[in-house]
Order: sequence, then C-alpha cells, then structure tokens
Amino acid sequence: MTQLKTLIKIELEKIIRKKTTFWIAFIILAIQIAAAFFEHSERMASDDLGTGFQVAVFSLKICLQLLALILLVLSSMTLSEEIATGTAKLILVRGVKRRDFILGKFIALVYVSTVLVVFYHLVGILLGHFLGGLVAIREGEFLLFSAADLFKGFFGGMFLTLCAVVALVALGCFVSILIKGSGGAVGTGLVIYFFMQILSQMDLFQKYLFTNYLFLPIDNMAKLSEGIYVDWARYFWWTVGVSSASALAFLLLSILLFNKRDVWH
Amino acid sequence: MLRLSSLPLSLVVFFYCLLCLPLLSNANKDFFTVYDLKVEGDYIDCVIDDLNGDGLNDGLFFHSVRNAGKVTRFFSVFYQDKQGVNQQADYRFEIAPQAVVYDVADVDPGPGKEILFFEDKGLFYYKMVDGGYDATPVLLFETPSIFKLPDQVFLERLDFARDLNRDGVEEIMIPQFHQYVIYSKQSAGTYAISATLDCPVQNSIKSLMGVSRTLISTFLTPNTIIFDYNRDQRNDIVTVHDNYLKIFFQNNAGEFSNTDAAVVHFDFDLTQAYSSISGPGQLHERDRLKDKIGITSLTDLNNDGLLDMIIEKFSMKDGALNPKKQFQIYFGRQNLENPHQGGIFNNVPDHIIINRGLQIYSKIGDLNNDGKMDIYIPIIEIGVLNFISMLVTGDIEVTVLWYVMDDSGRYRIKPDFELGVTFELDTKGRKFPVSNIDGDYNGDGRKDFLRSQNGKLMIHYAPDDGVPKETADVEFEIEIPDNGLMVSPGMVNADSKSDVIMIFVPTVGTEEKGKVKILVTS
Repeated sequence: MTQLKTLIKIELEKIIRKKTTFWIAFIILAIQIAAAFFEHSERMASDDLGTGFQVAVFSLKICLQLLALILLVLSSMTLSEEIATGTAKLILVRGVKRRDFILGKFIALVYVSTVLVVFYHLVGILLGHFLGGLVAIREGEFLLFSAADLFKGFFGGMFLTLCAVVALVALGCFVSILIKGSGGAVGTGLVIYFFMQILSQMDLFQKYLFTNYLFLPIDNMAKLSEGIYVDWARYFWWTVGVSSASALAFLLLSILLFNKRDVWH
Repeated sequence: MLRLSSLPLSLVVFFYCLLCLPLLSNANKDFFTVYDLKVEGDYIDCVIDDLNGDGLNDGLFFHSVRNAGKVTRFFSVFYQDKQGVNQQADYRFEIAPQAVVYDVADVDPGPGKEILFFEDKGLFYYKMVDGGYDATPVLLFETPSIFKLPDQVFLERLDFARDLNRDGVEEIMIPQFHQYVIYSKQSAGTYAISATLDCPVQNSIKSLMGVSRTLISTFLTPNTIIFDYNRDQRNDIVTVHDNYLKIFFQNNAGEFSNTDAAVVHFDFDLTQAYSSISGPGQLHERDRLKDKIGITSLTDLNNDGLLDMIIEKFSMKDGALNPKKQFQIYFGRQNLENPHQGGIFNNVPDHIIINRGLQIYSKIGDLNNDGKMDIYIPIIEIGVLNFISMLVTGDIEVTVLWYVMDDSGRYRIKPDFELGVTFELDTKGRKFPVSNIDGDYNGDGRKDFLRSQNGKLMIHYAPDDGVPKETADVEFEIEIPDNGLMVSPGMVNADSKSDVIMIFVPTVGTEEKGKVKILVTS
C-alpha cells in the first residue's frame, strides 16, 4: 500500500513538473472563457439573454470536449513512453509490482483529471455568474427551475462526468500498454475513442458504451438550463454502472497485458 | 445414442417454432372487413352520417375530377345497407360551381338530411327526393356572408349548422364580415335571424414576388366552440380571437345576444395563422422567424366543467434546425366576481411542458378513462447518426410521451410514460405516419392508439392499468396512404367499435387517381 502511495506521489510530481500540462490547461481555460463571452454576445444580439447557466454550460461543453481528448492523449502516452524510454525497467527492477506500477499511474491520472474537471466546472459557474447571473429559469412569471435545482443538476452532472472520465483514463492506460511507442498509442487511442463515439450515437450500442455518458451530463444540463425536464435518476445508474464496469475492465486488461509484456528487451 | 437423436429432434423443434412464428404475432387478418370504394378524384373529403334516415351511417364523398384540364366537383353517395357498402357509389352528382363551403344537416321537413352550401347569394341545399339527392339546388334563404368566391378544386366542409339550444333542430351560424348571424327555424318551417353577434372576421393580405400572382388575401374566421361555459346546463358560443375569448351566453329562452356576452383576455397574442406556410421563397413571410403561439386545445381538461386551454409556443430563436416547442396549460378558474360568467384564466400558466427533440402533432385524449384529458406528444430526437439511419432505412424512431393528469387535476413535471415506436418515412419526406388516439376499436369505451408500421396498421388498446404497451394488440396488413393524416376513425356500422376511413389522394409520385378504403371492425 505504501509502495502504491509512493508511486502515485512520484507520478503526480512527474505530471506537475511537466510545463506542457500547465500550458494545455491554460489554453483550455482561455478557450472556455472565449466560448463564454461568445455565447453571451450571441444571446445579447438575439435579445435572448437567458441565464448564466446557459453560458456556463455552453463554455463547459466545449472545454470538456477538448479536455477529454487531452486526457486520452496523456493517459495513452503514460506507459508507452516509459516503456519506450526504458524508465519502466528502472522502476520495476526495484521490486515494484507491475500491478502497482499501472495502478499508480492510473490513480495519479484520475487525480489530475478530477482536479481539472472540477476546476473547469467552477470556472464555468464563475463565468455564468458574471455573464448573465446564476438565477432561476422562468417563462414569463412561471418558475421552470429554481437556481437551487439548477445548481444540483450542475454538480450532479459534474459527478457523473467524472465517472465517465475515469473510464476514459482507463482506456488510455490500456491502449498505452497495448501499443508500443507513444505515437502509435496516442493514434490508436484517438481512433478507438472516435469509433466508440460513433457507436454511441447508435441506439443498439449507446447504452453500453461509456463514451455515451461522457458528455451526456453536460447535454442534460444544457436541456435543464433551457427549461427541459431531465430525469437524472434514469441516467444515474447507467452512467455509474457502465463507467465503473468499463474502467474496471480496461484496468484488468491492462494489468493482464502488462504482466505478459517483456519490458526487459 | 441420446446425443445422436437430439440433433434431428432439435431441428424438428426449430422448424416447428419457425412455422409457428406467424401464429405468435398479433397479425389479425379478420380484424377489419375492408371495403374498397371507387371515388375517383384529386381531392377527396368525406362525411359519415345517416343521410337517408334508415338508422345506418352512409358515406358522402366530395371529390374533384380533372378531365381535359377542366375540374368538376362531385358528391358521391354510398348508402349502407345490412350487407355493407357497395364498391361503386349509389350515384353521384355535380356540385354547383358557385358552392363555397358545405355542411350536412336536417333543415327540410322531407326525409333524410340535406347537404347545405353557401353561394354568394345565400344558403342553398340539395334535397333528398325518392331516396336520392336532387342535383338542383334549393334556396334556403338569401343572406350575405363572407363566402363569395368558390375554390376551384375543393369544397371545404364547415360545421355551420349546429343544434345550439339542444332542441333537436339545428341553427345556422353565418360568418359575416363584422358579425356572426344566427338563423333559427321558425314554427312555420322557415328560417329567420334570431341573433346578430359582434364577432369580427380578420383578413390577412400577403404580397407575392412571383409574376403570375400578386396577392394572397385570406379571411380568418374565429374558431367557434360550443360549450357550456358558465355551467348553467345550456350551451354557449365561445369564439377565439387574437388575444381574448368572447363568450355569448345562452339565455333562458335559448337565445344569444351581444348584451349577454363576456370577454376573457389572454396575456399573449395568438399568431394569426399559426401553421407556417413555407413556399419556395415566393411568399413574403413577415413573421416566419418570430415566435408563434397557437391554441392546441380548448376543452375541459380536468373535468371540472370549466374550459381549460393548452397553448403551444413555437420558437426558432436557436436557429431553424433547433426549433423549440412548449405547451402552456391554463386551467379555467371560477370568476368569483361574476360567477354566472364562467371561468377565467390566470396570467401565469398553471403548467409548462418543454420537451426535448422535434415535437410533432401533439394531441389530447383520455388515456386511462378517468374522464380527465391526458396529453400525448410524439417527439423525434435528432442526432447525426439517427438522421443518417433515418435516411438509409426510411424508419424513424419516435418516442411518444404521455402526460397523464393525476387525481388532483395536474400534470407531472416529467412524462408518466414513454412509448418507443418506429414510423416509416421516405427519403423525399412525402410520407406522414398514421398516429392518432381518437378511436375505440374494441368497444370498451376507451380510446386506443392507432399507428402504422411496415405496411401495417397497428392498434394498441387502452391498457387496463393505464400503462401503454410497446407491443401492438392488433396488426392489420393493408395499403396505407402516404399521408397518415388521411387515416381517421369513424363510426360506420352500427356497433360500438370505431372503424377506419382511409383516403388515398394522388401524390407527385403516383399517377393513379384517388381512392377510399373503409375498414369496418368485424
């Protein structure tokens, strides 16, 4: 357990030390802010000011789509890079279990993903507050949803997004073991991701793919912010269930594959 | 040994199951008796009513026939006897070229019902003589009306003859340019004016960019509902205007007047012609992109005797590809200041339903037979791949949302049931699926859901537990019109079950003339 903690700590330090991580986070933040101002100006131009929730959701949706790609790239590179450069050998030679090695990387990536997802949600809320105000949604004098309902939906949606993001990171880790070389792993990861996104559009498969639940919470939040009722309970168990099952499956496969992989030659 | 014998046994069981599959489906070839009626024409309309007074409903079909560039309008009459309906019309006759709108009512002391129609001069009728209509029009009375010029190819039906005071005799309501005039039958059998009600007709004039035409001028009569508005057991006349309802109350003598009227204002303006007319860019549509507001329903939804209202608000604020529709429900409330004047509405809706997806053809009906009206909204959720799949397969996945009114007379914020059904749609968009909840096909007193899929009419009976089923109770294979709106329930034979009338009008892709099928529940 102590070994795993140490590995997580080392992995986190590695990620933090990389300047590119911060740069990417900063660029996504800039895009999110620009998207929020764009949405606000569009609504002002059409005399449909709406509420700040609509601004928050619009900016966040763009930001999450970018973030998902970045997290997939990061996680796809994480092991393949270490195997290619030989640093994996140095760690494993010290008696670190292969399982712990993967788990350490995975948990560190989940940790970073969680921080980023929560951070961008909070930024979205802040942008919404300043560009429209986080107020209740009304049709004339009829109250469609109170601000409290919208906040609940927003943060509930954030939790569900996190579940699907964990599965995405697990997919990245799996691909990074499956494919040798970081370039190939990233490419394969992206192809699998887009293929799963296409399948997620099909009625036959969409229920069983975590990619369907990646942006479903934010889409639902967009509906809620337009006054459309969302039955969160209907999506909750499927999101949590499919995401957890996918994450677990990818992790187990990763461990199995890595146990068989010859990293010494 | 056992293993060897299990293979042929499995095959036998497999093929037996395969052969039994058709038996296991709900297909029921004998559910309807089909009558193919020959009604030739480009435009067809029908009235099912007991025309000759023999107690059996007959069919009166309007149809217009184009011959060598000339359009002639006809009425064809199909009488029903104990054997059913003939394939050929019993007879047909040419309609007076000046006829503008028609209705069927009993205004003459002779047998059966008369076909009334307006001409420029006044109201005429075709009289039944020796069991058939005489093609010579008879003048009922001269009167001015808004009906001046006939449509060249169609004859619209307007329900202008109605029994307003429940005395068994129909009154005639005539829209004039600034008023409604009501004619009542006198003891001598003649008709005379019994009321002149202030009720303006509107005109909508639109200019055209085309060379062949310059203007479209449309007269808009207010919708007129006959309803006991003040719960005094007498029918009142409710007319719907742009931003108010005007109610003409019936007095003790069974008469109407301007002094006995009330106005109920809305807090919004109804769009003049709610359904958008989008042509190939030829028409100046001044308000095409504006929000449109129309009334979906004006009836007693919660069975409290007061008129309730469902407003439909259509918006394209977020772009033409992302239209939004919402339903605002206003329950009528007793006017406490003037209790004898019936109900009024709050400025704020009592309930708003906003739904996902593209919403089509919503209706209200009593799903669970509790006397309260439930709302039925079919929606299509459009995603990129759904759209591609729709184009490739020609099938469209529609989710029907049911909002059921609860015991307290309210709707829930979320739909009570969602029913996923597949409808056929051709790639050229010339098909419209059958979907209605107006008929009772098993005679249990409850409305059933009729739809079409894969060349079959599917009936879902109103469920005993109130929960709609995805599996149809009846599947009946038959040719279905491309325009599903031309499939409607009607009471053709004398039993308590609804029958189905299907009108096939020629489309761009079909050369054949129109025809009619009547499906009588066996």
